[in-house]
Amino acid sequence: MKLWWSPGTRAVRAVWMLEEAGVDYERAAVDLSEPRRDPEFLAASPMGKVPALEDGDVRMWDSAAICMYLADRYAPDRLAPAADSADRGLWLQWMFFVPGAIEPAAAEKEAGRLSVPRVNGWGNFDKMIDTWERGLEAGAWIVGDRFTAADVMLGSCAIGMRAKGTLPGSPVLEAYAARCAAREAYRRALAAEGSAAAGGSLGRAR
Amino acid sequence: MKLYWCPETRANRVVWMLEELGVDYETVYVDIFKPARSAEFLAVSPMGKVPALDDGEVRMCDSSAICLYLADRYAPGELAPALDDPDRGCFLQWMTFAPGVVEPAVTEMLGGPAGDSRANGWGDFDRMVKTWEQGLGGNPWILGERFTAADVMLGATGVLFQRFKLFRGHPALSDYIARCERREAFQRALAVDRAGPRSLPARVQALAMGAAASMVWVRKPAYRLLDRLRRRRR
Repeated sequence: MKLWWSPGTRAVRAVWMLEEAGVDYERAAVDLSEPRRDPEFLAASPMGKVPALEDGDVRMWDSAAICMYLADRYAPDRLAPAADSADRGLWLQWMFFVPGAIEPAAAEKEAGRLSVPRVNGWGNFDKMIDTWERGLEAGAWIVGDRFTAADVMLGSCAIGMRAKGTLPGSPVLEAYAARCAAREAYRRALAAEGSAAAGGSLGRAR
Repeated sequence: MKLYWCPETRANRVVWMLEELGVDYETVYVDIFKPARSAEFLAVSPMGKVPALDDGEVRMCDSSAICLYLADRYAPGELAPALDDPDRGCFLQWMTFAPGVVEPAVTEMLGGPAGDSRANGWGDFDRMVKTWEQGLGGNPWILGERFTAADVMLGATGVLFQRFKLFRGHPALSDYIARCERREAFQRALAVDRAGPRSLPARVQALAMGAAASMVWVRKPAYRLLDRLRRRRR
């Protein structure tokens, strides 16, 4: 299995996920400052974005899709609830919360642009944060009482936002970020990032 | 199975999905223009957004998540490739493409000058369209010959934005969207949507959307020009 990766990007989510799943993989570094991309990489990632994955005949990109795929394929019932389990729906909902709500709401806020919260799927930044906090009311992890791939997705956002100072004074999310950052698999992913991410650029994407 | 729903919202893609599956369901109308939401609904959808689904012990929101859940649960191997199918990865990638790439890229393009296309997962509008068209590659559906839940997500998103004629210059994409609209299940979902209640603010919004749709062709080139000037100044 090959992961196209670059330090300080969303690819850390896939590295963390692979470490949680405990599967063998190799990392292929992509130089994002170079406008021309390797055709082999583009075959897996037509938008030229990292992370991208090659697993046998499977070629795909997008961190949320990759984490879902890996969890279902390599850690079913552990990092992904089974398709017929009661937790499956909520798990999927939180898997999509990152690309569908957190990222657009955060980007909008950063750019100082406002759109119509009623029309956007992501509402607005404050509503998104509020929903996220309430999701963590019941326990340490977002779905049920165990760590899943949804915590890889959400945790990487929480850690990244905490480092950037965009996590608005929320003790719940601060504690969640700390809990996620303490995972051994996360620490291994961080070590793989190398010195590039040591300064806290984790979660900043390219 | 209960679907919290409102006409002319993202809830229509779940109605379409349910019609593709042919399962029994009931719709519960939520007036999205009223600030108050029932506690029962908020327990399913904490952001107060439609669609939301109540399927026995499963309660969830988010249209992509719901479509993926329904496909895996009620039509595995058909509307969703099985977990060990080599197409599964690609399928998931297109499931996240609609909410994670198409929606933010379009909102950004309509809402003002582009953001940081390198940092944002969605790149920008042109890259999104190119990727989508490449993905289709002349096939009828996004995974090739078979129709899946990913076509429900992409098709419904496409139909929504095609009202603003956003893909007018892209025949392959426009054909795909028209093909999605011709599905029988899509037409049944459309009938459900049209028969639904419409509050006065919803009617006003529909009129405003119509007006905005006709203006996009003025705004889009104007923003492009502004963006080019802004970049040159850097």
